[in-house]
Amino acid sequence: MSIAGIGIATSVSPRRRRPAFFFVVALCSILLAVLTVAIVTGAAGIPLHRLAAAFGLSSGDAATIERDRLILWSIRLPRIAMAFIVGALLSVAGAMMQGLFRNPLADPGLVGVSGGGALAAAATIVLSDKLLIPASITPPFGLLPIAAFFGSLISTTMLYRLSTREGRTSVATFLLAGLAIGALANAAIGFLIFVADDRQLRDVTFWMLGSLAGGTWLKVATLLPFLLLVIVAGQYIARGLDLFVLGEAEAFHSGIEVERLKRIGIVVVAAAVGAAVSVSGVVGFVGIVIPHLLRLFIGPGHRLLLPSSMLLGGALLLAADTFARTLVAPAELPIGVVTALVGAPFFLILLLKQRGRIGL
Amino acid sequence: MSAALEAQDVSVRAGGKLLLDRVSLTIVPGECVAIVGPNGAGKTTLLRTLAGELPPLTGTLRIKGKDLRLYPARELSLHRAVLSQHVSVSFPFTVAEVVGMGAGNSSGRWLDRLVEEKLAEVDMSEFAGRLITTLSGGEQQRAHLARVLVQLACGHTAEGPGVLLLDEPTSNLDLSHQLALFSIAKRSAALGVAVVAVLHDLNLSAVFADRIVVMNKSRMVTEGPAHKTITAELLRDVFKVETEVGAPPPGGMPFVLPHNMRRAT
Repeated sequence: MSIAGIGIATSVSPRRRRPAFFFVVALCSILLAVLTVAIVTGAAGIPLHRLAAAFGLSSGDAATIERDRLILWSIRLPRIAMAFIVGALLSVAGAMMQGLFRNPLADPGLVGVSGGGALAAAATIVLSDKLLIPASITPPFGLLPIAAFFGSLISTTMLYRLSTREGRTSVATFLLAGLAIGALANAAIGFLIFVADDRQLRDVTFWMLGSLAGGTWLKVATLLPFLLLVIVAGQYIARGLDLFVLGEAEAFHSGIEVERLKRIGIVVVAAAVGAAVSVSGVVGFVGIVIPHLLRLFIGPGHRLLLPSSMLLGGALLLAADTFARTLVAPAELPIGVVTALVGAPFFLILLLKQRGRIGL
Repeated sequence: MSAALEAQDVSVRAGGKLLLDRVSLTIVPGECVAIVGPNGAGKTTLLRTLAGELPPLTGTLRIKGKDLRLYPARELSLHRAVLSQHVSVSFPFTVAEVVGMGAGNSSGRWLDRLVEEKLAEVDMSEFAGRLITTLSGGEQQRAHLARVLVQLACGHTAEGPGVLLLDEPTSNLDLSHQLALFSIAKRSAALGVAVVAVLHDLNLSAVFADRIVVMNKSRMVTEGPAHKTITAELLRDVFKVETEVGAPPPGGMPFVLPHNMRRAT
């Protein structure tokens, strides 16, 4: 087609395009700042001037370096990596769900998607001894991520079926159906707690509150393929999600294979949430706060929104986790409590602002 | 000339109810067709079926001679564009971004230019940077019309003139923009696009359409040029209105006025 329009091209949407590059740079700077704070603070602090030595970049007192290095590599860095990846996964899952359901109020934790994952994880903890699954077919990272993925997949699919009729998703039905699915998952988890023994009980409670303690490199390695899948699939369906915002029928009219987009979207959301839930339990509201903040700056286009959500979501959950583990040190606040304290009021404000428009 | 759009004995059933009963319709390139009828007659269902959105229970649909079911969605979008009655966007996209969505996956400088051109065509140039969520109903409808025109233009470049389907495109528009819409549709038709519009206003239908298709109770009652279809008998039988049909000089185009109407018993 014509290339004669170069001169006026940028004037069409000046609102969005120019800040995009600077915005990504700004996000990376935020991440770097949070990362530095997260590394140096903690129950056993590693002050900035000892950091270079701990990374092996300069010399110093051998015993101190050895101690710092141990803390850094076996405790702090895996936890930091896990916090970042979990935040990135939850936040991008929220952004995708919001596009898929054409609803800015969608959040995996709020509407039972995380609940489904947590239920499957709890069932695996409590029942795996009883089912006697042979160790030979168990993958090195355990059954939890896989179970959590399928749990999330089932609840996302149920949610879609329940709230969408003839290609239109009702916001009220969506929130209520999500609430019901979440309540059902909670009831089932309650039953599992009832039949669990003491050790299982501790593990299940961990999923209910959400925590990033106990991060290991193995868990980080388990998360990586999911992260990669979400990045690739996200860019693949980004434009489709933009068109999906017009409505299912309009997306089809504009040339989108609607059913395929929905299937990919639901599987990717379930994979992201399932993976996050399997290592950290239920951490709510990350997926609703971050994409909403980003839309204010870069607009709702998914090509930029999805990767930005990962960067900011990772950075903010890392910040929240650093806060959670230092505020009442040596004890820790559950991370799910921290995100809910910030996220729930935010959600209420969003709901009130939207009230007129969505007919609630 | 071969048909742009062909429906043969098409029936559609949904929720145990027959929504379309053996409708046959052929539309040639460059033709403007209006679908009229009382509420619940099946007008929108017919349009959505022609768009490929509702699978017919029986009968066949063809676009440019090829069975509609054989088109992948992307290819179909290059042959036909649809303007739905209600499109609500729940995210704050700018008008220019929404209009650019007409090009599907494609983007580039040429698209920015095309978007500007189509926005000008619907008299929305100064709205390009505004958020679609802040516009009035009529302004949104015009923005979506521009989006559909972008899609039509992309299809035209790739596959030649296609089919334009409009579902009550004037429902939110003031009089001057209604007329503008019809002149846009007429211009597309002059380029070889087959235009089908669901309309409520019989007078505008008579002015706009080369042919009027009258739907009632899921069936096609009659079709033909305005002076053959818009008659006192039709208004009484289909629309349940007793009135006289006039014809202003010089064209002899039929018109109906509300002044001497009353409900038929």
